Amino acid sequence: MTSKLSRNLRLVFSYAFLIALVVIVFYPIAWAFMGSLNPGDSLSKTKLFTTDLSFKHYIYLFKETNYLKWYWNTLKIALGTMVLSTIFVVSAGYAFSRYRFKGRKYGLMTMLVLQMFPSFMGMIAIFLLLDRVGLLDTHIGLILVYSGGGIPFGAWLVKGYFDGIPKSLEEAARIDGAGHITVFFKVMVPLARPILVFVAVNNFIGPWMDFIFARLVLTSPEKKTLAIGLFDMITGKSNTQFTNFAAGAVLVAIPITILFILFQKHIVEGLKAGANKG
Amino acid sequence: MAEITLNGIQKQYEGDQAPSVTDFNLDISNGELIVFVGPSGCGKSTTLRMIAGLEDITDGTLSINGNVVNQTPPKERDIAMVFQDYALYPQMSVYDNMAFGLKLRKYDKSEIKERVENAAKILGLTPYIDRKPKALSGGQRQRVALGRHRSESEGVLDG
Repeated sequence: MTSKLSRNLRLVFSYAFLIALVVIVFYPIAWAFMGSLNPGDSLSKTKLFTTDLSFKHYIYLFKETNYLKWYWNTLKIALGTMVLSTIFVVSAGYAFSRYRFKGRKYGLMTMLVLQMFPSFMGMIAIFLLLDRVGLLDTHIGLILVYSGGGIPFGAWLVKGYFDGIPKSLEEAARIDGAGHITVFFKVMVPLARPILVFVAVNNFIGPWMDFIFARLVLTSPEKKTLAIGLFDMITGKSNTQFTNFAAGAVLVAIPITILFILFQKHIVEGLKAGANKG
Repeated sequence: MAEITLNGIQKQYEGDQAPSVTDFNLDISNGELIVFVGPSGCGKSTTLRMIAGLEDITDGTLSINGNVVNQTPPKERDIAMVFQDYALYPQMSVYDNMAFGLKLRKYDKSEIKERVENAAKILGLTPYIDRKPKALSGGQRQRVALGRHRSESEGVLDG
C-alpha cells in the first residue's frame, strides 16, 4: 500500500518536473513565434494569446531585406565548416589514436590546454592573420577560422572513440590485404559513424549560430550572415524591428531542428561515447 | 603449400628489460599442425604476430617457402590469422566479413561468391550468411573468423 503510494508520488513529481522543463523551454519559443506573427513593431504590445495575426514580418524579410542572401551565406559557411572540420578532426583523431610519433603526447596536451582559453583571445591574431593572407571579408576565411577552432575539442573526442575500437580489427584488415587508406575508410570510419555525425552536426551548429567571428571577419553587407543581419535589426538607435527579428529567428531554427531530428540517435550515441572516453 | 622456418628469432619490445622471445628456432613443413603451449606472457602470441608480420622481428630470420620475409608487410605473406577476440568487422555481414580479403585481392565477383559460399557450407554458416557478427553466438563468430581465412589462403595461424 505504502509502496504504491510512494511510487505514485514519484511519478507525480517526475511529471511535474518534466512539465516544468517543457514550459521553461517552450515559453521563449512561443513568445518569439507569436511575436513574429503579431502586426506592429514592438514586442511589448505582443500578446501570447491573440487572434490578430499576420505574416507581414515574414513578407518584409523576404521583400525588403537581404534575408535569403544571408540565409544562403550562412548555409554555405556552415556546410563548408561541417565538411572541412570533420575531415580535419577525423584525420587528427585517427593519427593521435593509432600512430606513435614524436610530440604526440605534447600535442595532445597542447590541444587540451588550448581548448581552455576562450576563442576570443585569438581574435586579434586571427584578424591580422586573415588580413596578411588576404582572406579578410571572405567566406573561405571564416570557414577556415571555424574549422581550425573546432579541431582540438573534436580531435580529443574522436581520438577517444577510436581508442575504444580494438586494434585487432585493423590488424585483421592488414592481413586481409588492406593498406592504411583502406583500413581507415573501410574499417575505422564506418565504425566511428556515431561520433563523426556528432562532430559534423556540432560543427554545423557552431557557425550557424555564431555572431562574434562572423562580425569580425565579414565587413561588406552582401556577405553578412544571418546572425549579423538579424542582430543589426535590433541594435543601433533607430533599429527597433523586434518583430521582424523574431520572424527571422523562427526561420533560423528550421535547419537545426531538421538536423537534430534526423541525427538524434547518433547525437545521443556520440554524446555518450564522448562522456565515457573523451 | 607453405613451409615456415624460424631461425634465431628474437623479440625485444621497446622499454622492456628482457626480450620477450629469445633465439627461437623452428621448422614447420607443409601440412604440419603446430601447437604452442606455455604460461601467459611467455611469447606465444608475440611469435605468431611476428610470423604474421604484425610485429617487427628484432633479430633472426623468418622465411616462408625459403624466402626471407622479415620486411614483408602482412598482406604479401599470404598467411591468415584468427585473433583471440576474432576481430570480425562489426559493420559487415558474415558474407562480407569472409569476402573482405578476397575483394581486396581483386578476385572475380563470381569466384568470391563461390569460395565464400563453399567455406560457409563447410563451417555450417550458410543460414547466418546475412547476419551481422553481433547477432551470432560465440562459437558461430569463431567459425566466421576461421571461414574468413579459409576462404582466402592455406596456412592459418590461430592466435
